[in-house]
Amino acid sequence: MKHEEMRHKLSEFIDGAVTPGEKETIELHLKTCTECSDALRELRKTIEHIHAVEEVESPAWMTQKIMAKVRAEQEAKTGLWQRVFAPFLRQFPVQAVAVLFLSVTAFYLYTTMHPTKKYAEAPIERFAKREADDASRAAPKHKAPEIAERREKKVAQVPDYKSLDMKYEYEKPAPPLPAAPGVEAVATREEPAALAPAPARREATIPVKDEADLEKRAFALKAKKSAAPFQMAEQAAQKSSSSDALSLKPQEAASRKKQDKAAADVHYSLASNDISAAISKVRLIIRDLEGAVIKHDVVTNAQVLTVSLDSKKFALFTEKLKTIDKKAWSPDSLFPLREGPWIIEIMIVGNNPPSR
Amino acid sequence: MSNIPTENSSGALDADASLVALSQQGDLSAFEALVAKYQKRMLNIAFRFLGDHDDACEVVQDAFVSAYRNLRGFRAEAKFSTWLTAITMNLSRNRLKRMKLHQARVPVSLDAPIRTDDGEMMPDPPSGEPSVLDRMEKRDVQAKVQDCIKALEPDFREVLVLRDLQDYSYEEIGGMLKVAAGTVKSRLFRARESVKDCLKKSMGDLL
Repeated sequence: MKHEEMRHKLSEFIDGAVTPGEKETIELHLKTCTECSDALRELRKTIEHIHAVEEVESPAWMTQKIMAKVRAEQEAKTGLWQRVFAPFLRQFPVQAVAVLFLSVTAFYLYTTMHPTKKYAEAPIERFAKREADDASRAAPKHKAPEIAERREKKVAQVPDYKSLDMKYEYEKPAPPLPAAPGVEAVATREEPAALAPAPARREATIPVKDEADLEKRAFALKAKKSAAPFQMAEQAAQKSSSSDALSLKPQEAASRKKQDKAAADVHYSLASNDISAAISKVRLIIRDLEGAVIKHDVVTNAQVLTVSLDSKKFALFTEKLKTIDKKAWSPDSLFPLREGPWIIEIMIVGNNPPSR
Repeated sequence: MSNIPTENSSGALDADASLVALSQQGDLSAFEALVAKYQKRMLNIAFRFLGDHDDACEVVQDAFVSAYRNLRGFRAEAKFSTWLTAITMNLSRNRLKRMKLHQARVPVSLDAPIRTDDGEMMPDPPSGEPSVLDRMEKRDVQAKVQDCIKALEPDFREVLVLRDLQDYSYEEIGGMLKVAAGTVKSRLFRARESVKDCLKKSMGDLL
């Protein structure tokens, strides 16, 4: 280390801010260099003088004045909004408030939309299964309105349900009449529409398949002649374009939709060896009971009589029908009986032809 | 450098830390305690740097208000006293610049009246006669020292004030003034040499 360099290090040397090696070198140099040792002495004296400078006292008012300014600063900074919300925000950080808000919103949406319920209950499966069950074991009469009600409800509520129902409805109609007269599916499809009459018809002398076929033909004919009577509310909702499909539905709807006078309230199915004789007997019974024959349709191996009869005479009418065919079905327990004239459709089929 | 004594003991640090924490939560009495504790030191720093008592008082007030305003940004890893000193030094420098704008910088005149706590006084003219020095009272010496410090350039003056009057370490000074420790050392050397020369000139002999 040169002299000048050491001369510059004297300040640090006094502060003890030099390395041990530098310290040793400088101490050695100071022993031989008078200039540096004098400079060191003067420097120490100078620092001594500086240290000796007395501190000035702060004015007594200083603290109060500073605090007054600080309070004024705080007042200016703390507006009304901060006064109200600052303590709240200090206790509940913004993040916590945000999380709480999101949680509440998510829960609200979840409970409103029922996402799990929506997917858990696929409507097509549910209704299809129910319908099949109803059909196979001839569901009690109150099921049908319930299903119809639900279907209407779903269609009105959610578009998805409607589309699924529509799909279902497209699958539902029976194949064209002449093409598949004895298909099992036709019989099963028909039964929910037939409501309670189904079991009685099974007991009738005509086998189920034939009966289904005949009935279908009968209604198909009726549909052609007077489609309007069978355009019931449910059919309108379904908007089925097929008249065959329509022909399978009338009983179901007719039981509770009274807009159309020609729509039958009750359907009878009789089996007789002599259809003409049976028709005459039925006409006599109607006349005795002060009813009126509205229509008389003739189809292959069957005739359909549409009559009007007071509801009070219904039980008596049923009894008298049993004189023609013991197995004539009695609908006493079926419908919510209403006052006034009823439209009754009696189908008489021959015993002899197809099977048995 | 590590053997340079630092001003605050750990106990004082802990006390400051808790007071600062309370102040950060809006406790004004805690901040008032900090004001009471440090106002004198800040005043001395500002006064030795500016050389004017009234200006120093204003700077100290502004420094504490500024500290309170920025207290939320203060991190516990720094010492509160160091942080406050840096604020005070910064405000002092700004004030000095404003003062220079208002009045042309006049070189220190040893004949000019010296302002002291007791008022203005006329400095004794520099003289090489020992008899004059012998009569010089302690307060006169201090006035001369203050005058010599005031004559330093601001960059040198602030280092001298912080090191020799306030005992901050080189690292602390470097941190406050945002300069390297080597710069602090060299500035301090030159500042001390200048004061030594000034005192020699005014007092004739330092011994």
